[in-house]
Amino acid sequence: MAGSQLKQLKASLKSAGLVGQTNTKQKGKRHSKKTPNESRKDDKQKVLSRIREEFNPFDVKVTRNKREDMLEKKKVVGRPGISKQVGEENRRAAFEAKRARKNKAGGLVDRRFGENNSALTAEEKMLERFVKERQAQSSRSSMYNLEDDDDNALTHYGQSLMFDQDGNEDEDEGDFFSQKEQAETTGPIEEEPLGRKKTKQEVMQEIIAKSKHYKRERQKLAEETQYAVQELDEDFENVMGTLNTVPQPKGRPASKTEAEKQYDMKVKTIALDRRAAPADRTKTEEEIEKERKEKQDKMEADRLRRMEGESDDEHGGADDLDDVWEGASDLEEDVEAGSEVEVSSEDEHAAVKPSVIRIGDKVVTVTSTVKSKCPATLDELLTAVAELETSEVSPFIVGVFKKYQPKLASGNKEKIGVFSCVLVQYMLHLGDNYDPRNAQLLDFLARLIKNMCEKYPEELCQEFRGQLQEIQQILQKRDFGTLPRQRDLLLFTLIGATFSTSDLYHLVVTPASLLIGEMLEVLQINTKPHHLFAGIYLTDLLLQYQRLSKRLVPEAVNFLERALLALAPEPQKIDSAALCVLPKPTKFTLATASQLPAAAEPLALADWKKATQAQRENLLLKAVQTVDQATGLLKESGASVELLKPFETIMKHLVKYYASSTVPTVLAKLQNLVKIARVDRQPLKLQAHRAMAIPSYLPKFEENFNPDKKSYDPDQTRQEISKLRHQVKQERKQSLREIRKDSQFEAREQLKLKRKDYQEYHSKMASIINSIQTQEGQAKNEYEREKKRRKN
Amino acid sequence: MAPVKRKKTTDKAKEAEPLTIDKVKDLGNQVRESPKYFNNLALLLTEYKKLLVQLQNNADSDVQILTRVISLTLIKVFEHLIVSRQLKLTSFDAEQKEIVRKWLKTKYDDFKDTLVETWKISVDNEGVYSLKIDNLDSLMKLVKIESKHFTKDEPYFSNRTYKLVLENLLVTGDLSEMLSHDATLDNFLVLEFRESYFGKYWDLRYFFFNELKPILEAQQDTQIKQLIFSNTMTILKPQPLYDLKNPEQTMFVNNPPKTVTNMRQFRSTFEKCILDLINLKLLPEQNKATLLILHKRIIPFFNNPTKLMDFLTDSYNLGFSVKDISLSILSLNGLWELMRQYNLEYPDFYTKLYAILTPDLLHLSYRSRFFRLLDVFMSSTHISASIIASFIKRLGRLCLTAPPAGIVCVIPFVYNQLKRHPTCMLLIHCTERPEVDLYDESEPDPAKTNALDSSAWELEAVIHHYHPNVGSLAKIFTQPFNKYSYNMEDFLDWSYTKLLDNELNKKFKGELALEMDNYESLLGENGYLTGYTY
Repeated sequence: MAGSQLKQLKASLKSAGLVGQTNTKQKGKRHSKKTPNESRKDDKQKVLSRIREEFNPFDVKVTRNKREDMLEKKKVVGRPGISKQVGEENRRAAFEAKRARKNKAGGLVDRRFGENNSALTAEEKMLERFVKERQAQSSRSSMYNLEDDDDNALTHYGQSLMFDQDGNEDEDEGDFFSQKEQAETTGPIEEEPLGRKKTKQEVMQEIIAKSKHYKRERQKLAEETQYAVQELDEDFENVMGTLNTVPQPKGRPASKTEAEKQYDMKVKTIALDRRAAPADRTKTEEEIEKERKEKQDKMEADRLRRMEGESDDEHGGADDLDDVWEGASDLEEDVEAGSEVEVSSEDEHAAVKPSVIRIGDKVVTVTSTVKSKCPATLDELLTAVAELETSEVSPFIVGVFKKYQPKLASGNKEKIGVFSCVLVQYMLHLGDNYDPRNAQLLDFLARLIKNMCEKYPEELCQEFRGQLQEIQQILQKRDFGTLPRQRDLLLFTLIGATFSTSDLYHLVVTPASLLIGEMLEVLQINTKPHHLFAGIYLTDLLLQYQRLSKRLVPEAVNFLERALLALAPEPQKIDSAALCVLPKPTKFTLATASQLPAAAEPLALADWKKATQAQRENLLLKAVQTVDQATGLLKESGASVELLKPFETIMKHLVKYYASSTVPTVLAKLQNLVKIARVDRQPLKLQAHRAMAIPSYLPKFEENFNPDKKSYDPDQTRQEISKLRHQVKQERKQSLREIRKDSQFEAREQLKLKRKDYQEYHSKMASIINSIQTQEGQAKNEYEREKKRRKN
Repeated sequence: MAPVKRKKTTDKAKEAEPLTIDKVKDLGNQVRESPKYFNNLALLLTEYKKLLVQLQNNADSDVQILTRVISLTLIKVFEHLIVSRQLKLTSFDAEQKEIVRKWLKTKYDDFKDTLVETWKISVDNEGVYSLKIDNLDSLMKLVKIESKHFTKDEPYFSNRTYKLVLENLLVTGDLSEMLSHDATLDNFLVLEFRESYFGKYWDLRYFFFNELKPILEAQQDTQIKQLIFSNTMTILKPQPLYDLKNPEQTMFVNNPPKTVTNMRQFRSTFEKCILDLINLKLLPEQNKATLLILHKRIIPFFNNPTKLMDFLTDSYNLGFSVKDISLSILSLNGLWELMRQYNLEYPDFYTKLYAILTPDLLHLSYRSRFFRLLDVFMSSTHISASIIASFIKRLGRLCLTAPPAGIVCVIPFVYNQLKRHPTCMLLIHCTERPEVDLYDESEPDPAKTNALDSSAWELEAVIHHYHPNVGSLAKIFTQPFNKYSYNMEDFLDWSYTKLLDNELNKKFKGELALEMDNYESLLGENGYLTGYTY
């Protein structure tokens, strides 16, 4: 088409035959089609609107693709005006419907089948309704009807007159809902072309025929069953007859002999016995060894993990130590073996029956006479054990554990938890007032406390930390009259023997180490003999703490140096350049003529306040040995040269006086280690990090570019997911838009309605006022007139 | 002297019976009514002295109450006398009156001396304490009244009484109870004086130092001089003498002499006083305490702080010679103040500073003080890298024997230094170097130690410290140096107590790892710790 808009319009009108010569006889089909006048008029309207649309450039929206030619895609044409109008109409309809229903309850909902379906004929509709009704009935009646409802069906000559409602279902599962389905069901039977619709008669016949067929088959089946049942019934009489002839036992015999009773018992017990299951095969030595080794390995791995300080989600370690659990768990097993009756009358039996308890490798025979309540404080325990011999205390404690087993009564668990804490206090109390007879008891308590730590970690953790806090408070006051107490040494030793000291972080061990460190810092070793003793003891203990993890303990290093210098003879002669402490003669400086004992005797805690020559010599020897031990720890450190150097100097000095003791060997070892460390040491390379990546901002070039491809993701599923996500997003946007439009429309309409109401009201009021004014005016006029009249 | 005679007869009658509280009040009122009862004063004073003797011997509470009542009554009476100007010295009228006046004057002086005497009672109980404090208050009140009424509206401050107060106040207390960390005394009288008078009123402060010098000069006994020093420290320590920017001058007496407001005058008096004090033969603790407060409480109020230079440099060097580096650290603070504000030059400063880094340093409680200063001294980027490296190397060595709190100070400091002086990174990361350690630890000059040709193995060793937090802090040297710098203040004030509280406050989280090995016993042959027995 070419030319101006007007020309185009004229041309299109003309080609549609709407302008110009209207009644020209046109030849061909086109003319013959337009017959009735009405339809022509309609046609005319349609054609006109099409032309109007064509010539309204604003009513059509074309999405133009940039690569249109290349893609040869269809133009997407949208008609926003029309779609908007359609939407508006729909909304208006919905709004009207809603408004009509507003403030109304009840009403009629047309749920009849296919009433609005114009594709169905009236007969088909009736049929549908009938089928639906039948279905509704059948579902209602068969709800509780277990039997087939054959009995109440009408029959004629043995044939049911009922329509079988199942007929359809047998053929296909679907309902009679759609025209199409109906066509499918009936189709194959009648083999008619799809287009032809069946008459009602045909359909009915079909259904009747089908139902009859099925009915017959079912009746046949029912008859067969009935026959079988009858036969069985007849036989039953006979069976019962034979059964009745068996003589029935007439009551129980009056009394049973002892043997019988025993027999009965046996039978019962056998019956109640668990079925014999094959016992676990006895493990061979190697297997046991292997298991033990595996467990050990696992524990070791856990320990290593903790030592490295890796956080552990898995709850390992302590719970795996089943075999460690000796004392208390054996006690439980003992009672488990005994029946519950024994437990309830324990008070009577306990005195008579000694129970054997194995603790560690020892076997303790307990005559348990625990009648008191579970001691909840140290004082209670002390009064309870006041009149007992030392050897009787451990059985007493075992007795308490036995009586208050958690499984025996509720609340026992808490009681035992508290009791375990009391045991810690008791042990420290024993350490305070030490008596050599208590040595075994202390060891027993130490093992027991370790076991209890597994069961009651929280309580005991709290207890230990409480004890540490107490020491800290004394330490803070710098109260050296009381401070290094024997119980403190005992507490730290107990902590070491109980907890895993190699852990990077431990709730009890870390604060304990800190406390020992602080104590080593403040001990006045130059004046007080027991301070010196305690210091050497604690240094040894710290080294023992770190025997696996081999961490650096500066306080211990510093203290060891101080201790050696406090004891060494003629300290002022030592070259102080390499030392951290200024060597000065002290109260304990040994004489030059002193001799170190050849073999170390164990130092006794009991005489820690002694400052005799022999004791000091012993202490010096111990300190030298501790240095020897410490070398194992210090040589691991990167700064081993610096750490070992002062000790080397001191040993060189000591060797002059004690050439015949262990000092020369220690010195040789130290010198050797320092020499090796000097040679082995490499410059540090702590900052050898992986090179940092530099971000690149160059665009990525796609090798196989394809404009059709939306995504280059090689992962198929991910691609699909992103596609779906995109769709969801689109849908969401659409529906949001719809909802927004709806609400806007509603608001608009409501405003319109309100305005209308106002307008009506105001116009009504205006007219009323107007009429009243008219009346008033009239009355006034009349009054004036009357007045004038009267005046005159 | 007629009234006196008459009084005596009544006195004799009364001497038999002990004085009661009402009686005392009556006597007091009589004196105030008329001069004829002046002899009551003598009576009360003698009674008062007697009671004081009783108090020495642990008298009961009745006696204490009576004593206090008498002293209060006397105060009132003398106050009345002063206000009514019957005590005034400079009136030359009737001879008769003059005699009475002189007599009254001696009684008054006697009374003041008696009040001061009470401070020497060595009995410890509530009553005596309150009596002593009462008497301090009374004396100060007298100072105030005297200053107001001894002259006719002329500026006047009663120096005589004030000197009497100070003379006796500063020798109270017991030197053996001196608190060793700051050389102050827990002397309630001095504390009360500080709280109620010295701290509040400017003129009292002014005359305090005016009077202190003659008091010191009069004293011969070294012990008592030290006591005076400690009491002065107690008064000086808690707050600065005055606000330097805005000296607020609340006066105690009504009309003090004009010279009080002369700050220059005050400063020079103060300066002389302090110099006298610190040149006494002091105890070591007192020396340290002086150094502790020097830069905040003393230097700002000096006319010429350089006068302290000798004292400071002497203390600084003394620290090295007696191997007590805390002395050096403390004088460093004052020296720094002088260097910063008064351009004091100090040769070989960094060498001396390097000498302070002895193994004791990290064990001292003054270490945070030192590190604050060290941070300032080392903040210059113009210090040569070899000096910095020597400091790092030496500090690392100190860490090997230091408590955790000390190590915690060193690590961020070293980090900051490495950040400031990237050349020193060679200490922790070096790829090309002979494997021989060239660091000379005995070299006193930090510029010549060859520390840059060494590695800080000590710092690496600290990574394996037994305390996990210290270890992880030391790990910053192995990580990329991304942080700009650490705020030293966060790390300076740690102590065992703080660390331990931190640990003990951690919550129990369901697991308590146990020792793997089982020991038969704690001590002994097969025990946990061998080599010991119970």
